[in-house]
Amino acid sequence: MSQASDADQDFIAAAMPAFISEAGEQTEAIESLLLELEEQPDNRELLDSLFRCAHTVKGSAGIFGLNKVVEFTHHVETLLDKCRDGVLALTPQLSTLLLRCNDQIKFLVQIANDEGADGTSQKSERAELVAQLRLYTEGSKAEVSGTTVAAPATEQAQDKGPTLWRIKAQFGAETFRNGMDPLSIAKYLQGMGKVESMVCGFDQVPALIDLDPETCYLGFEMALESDASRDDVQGAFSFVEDDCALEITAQESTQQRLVRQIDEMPATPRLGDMLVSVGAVSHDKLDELLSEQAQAAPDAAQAKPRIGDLLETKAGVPPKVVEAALNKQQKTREASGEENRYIRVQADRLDAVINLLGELVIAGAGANLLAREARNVALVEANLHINALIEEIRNGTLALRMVPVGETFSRFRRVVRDTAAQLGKEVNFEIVGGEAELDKSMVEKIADPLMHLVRNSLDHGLEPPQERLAAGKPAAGKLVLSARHETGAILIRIEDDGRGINRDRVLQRAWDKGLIEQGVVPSDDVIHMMIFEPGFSTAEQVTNLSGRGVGMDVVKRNIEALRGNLKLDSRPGQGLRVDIRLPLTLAIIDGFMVGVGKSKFVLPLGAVVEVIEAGGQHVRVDAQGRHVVELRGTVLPVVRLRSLYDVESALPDRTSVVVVQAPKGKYGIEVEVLHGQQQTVIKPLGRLFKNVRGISGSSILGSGEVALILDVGSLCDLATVSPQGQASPSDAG
Amino acid sequence: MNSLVQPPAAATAAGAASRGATGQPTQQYLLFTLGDETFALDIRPVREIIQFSALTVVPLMPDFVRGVINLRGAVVPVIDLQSRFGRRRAEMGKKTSIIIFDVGPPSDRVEMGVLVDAVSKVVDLGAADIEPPPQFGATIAREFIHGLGKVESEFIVILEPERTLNIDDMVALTERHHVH
Repeated sequence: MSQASDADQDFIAAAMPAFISEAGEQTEAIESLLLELEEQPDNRELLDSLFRCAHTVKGSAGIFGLNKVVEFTHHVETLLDKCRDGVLALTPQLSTLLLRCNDQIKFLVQIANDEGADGTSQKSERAELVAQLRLYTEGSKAEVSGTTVAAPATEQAQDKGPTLWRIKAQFGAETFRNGMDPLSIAKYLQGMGKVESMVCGFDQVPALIDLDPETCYLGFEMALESDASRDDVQGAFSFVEDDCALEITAQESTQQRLVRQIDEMPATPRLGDMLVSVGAVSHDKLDELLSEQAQAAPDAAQAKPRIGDLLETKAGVPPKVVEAALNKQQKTREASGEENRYIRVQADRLDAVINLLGELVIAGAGANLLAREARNVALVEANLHINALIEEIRNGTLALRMVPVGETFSRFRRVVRDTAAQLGKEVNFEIVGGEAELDKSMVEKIADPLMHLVRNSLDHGLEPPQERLAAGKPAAGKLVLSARHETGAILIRIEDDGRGINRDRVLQRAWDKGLIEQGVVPSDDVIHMMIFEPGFSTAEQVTNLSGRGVGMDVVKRNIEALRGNLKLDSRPGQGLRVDIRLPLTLAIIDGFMVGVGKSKFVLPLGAVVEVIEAGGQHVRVDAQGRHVVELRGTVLPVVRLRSLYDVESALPDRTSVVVVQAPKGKYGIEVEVLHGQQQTVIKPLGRLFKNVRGISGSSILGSGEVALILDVGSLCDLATVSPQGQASPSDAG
Repeated sequence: MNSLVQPPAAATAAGAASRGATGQPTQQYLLFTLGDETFALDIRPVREIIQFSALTVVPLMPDFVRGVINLRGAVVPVIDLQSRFGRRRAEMGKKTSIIIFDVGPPSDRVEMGVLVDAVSKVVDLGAADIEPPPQFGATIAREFIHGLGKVESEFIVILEPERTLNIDDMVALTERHHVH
């Protein structure tokens, strides 16, 4: 338990800079949107974007447990929601108010790492802003209460000296009959530390006449100073837990308070300053000790007594407090060292380097050729060495852009845990295939849509434990986030075993919202996809996380903007599976290069099943005029690249058929030359070619030539449909 | 590497509008030939001119899309203007060149190569040297013509870059090509 929360803390510390920069971008966007809205107050799209920005800030702040940001932004969001519903008009006064609020959000985000920087003037300004916001929103019931996220009470009793535990227990009536004795528990607790006080609670004890000697009426209150953790203390009650009213609260000792204050302090490099500011030692005493330290070591050769030791011995500062201050000092030093391990690089500069390296590869190949022609063995060898190095540099540079998608996935652990806890649901969250790599820019853009889908599964998909048990499922739901490379694309899948999509409710909602004409019943797939329509939300109550009807439409739009697609597979009562397929722009794939005439094509190696060295004999034309090949008794359709491509060279004697696996089934591609496997860098073909079928992109070969990457999915349609284009003139002979 | 003509320094956006001998503002135009006809285009969107070496054909595209080339690591489409004007495809000759243009709105600029039979020279033309497009008798559709420029007592068709190099028009054409 405590390990998990430590891991969470580590993760939060690591992800915090990313959150701050992201939230910074959002607040920038809010500001510019507000200003734009002043020009065109009726622009619905701007208003929607504004709302989404605020929603995003609130959502991600929630993940990091920044309750101040969440609380404050929630007020802003509520107001914006009113504007969206048309209840409120975005007047210039309102806009000014919102801009001021935005400044506060910005401020709160900036000080996210350092709660202490929140000054009283800022606090009072926020209170004033909230009051004003509520003036506007008060038209409806104030739904402010109940929105604050209860911060998970984290106690790290360890390493901070003993905790003073206040334990209040009232034992159940059956305790004695179950063979338990409150006294033995009290004795057990006594063994864990020092009992400061203990009072027996007998207010439940009835009049003697009504007393049943076998019934337990007792309780006790105890103050226990112990190093034991909450779990350990609670463990003492494990046998009576079920029918015992138990309250365990921690009270800080002075020493603990000092340690905590040191931990929470902004980084100060000097040990003495830290201790003075928390009041562990007076300023005068510190000065005295410092001069003593200087006097004790008049020349540098002699070892100086350490100020920490002096503080302990002469000023009576508890050793634990000094230790905490020293740790803090150490951490501060480490953190400033860590900043240098990462360099933020502008992506286009990296791209420029990659392009130049591509040129270098080509130039290197040219030099190599000249060396061979000159028949100078030493020169050839030198060139080969240079080329190998260039190749290594190129691969290394390309890899700079690639990051494992798992980094993004693990961000969701916290979301899932907290969301599930908030919703009172149990969930086993599993991540599969986090090592699959994806271009950095893609990873960034996919994080938000994924977050929404994960939350959606938790919120609407998974049922509460009782409901699950009633349906014959285990109480804890299952949520699996997985990624894998699949024929030149990455497939990200979010799968839960919840209730699936309620088709009828979605349909009713779509009718009500006018998304589908009243009474028209489209296919289930179409109905399911309705949840991605703007303004669609079946959530019955507005929760802190989702259910405001933003999100799912944005999810779809974001994924489509990445040239990806979404697929839903809903099994009522059994779960929902969302498949997101994304192309690997700029990703490197393992390619299989084939040639037709002088042209070269690359197939994603993952799609290649086998190669038939057919010698041109096996491919024949069936009754419908389609090219087919027989493979171990089954007939596969064949795409003739040479006719598709209108290659002008003479037909060679031998052709081969590459059998590939497409989503719709296996088929063959007839080619003339097999060049073999090679790493391929995908270059997008650009807007002009967005409609082209059978081609997913291009790649620049070492020779400088451009090779096209075949898209086995859409090429398959050309094989089965047999368009007229296949019967080109060159094919007639 | 194989750049034949780097646009002269004066051809940058600011410098292109220089002043001719007569004192009136002039504009620089790039002259090139398609078949046996000479055309002119505003030089400002021209990035560079390269010699034609090899290109990669993209299947199932309309005739005017000749294919793609590798321009220092970027994959750039190459358009056949002859074919775009509804004529026969250009034949590859010794002087065949590709003019690389920056096309599209500033927010979404892309590079596009235009295949021409030869690039001849850069001329300065003032407003007085340019006449409106003829009502009839032109060899290409009127929408492509910006005007007629007078170069050494000869009239040369100045192409309208907005139409001639409009990528959206071309995308629409490829869509239509795919429908049937």
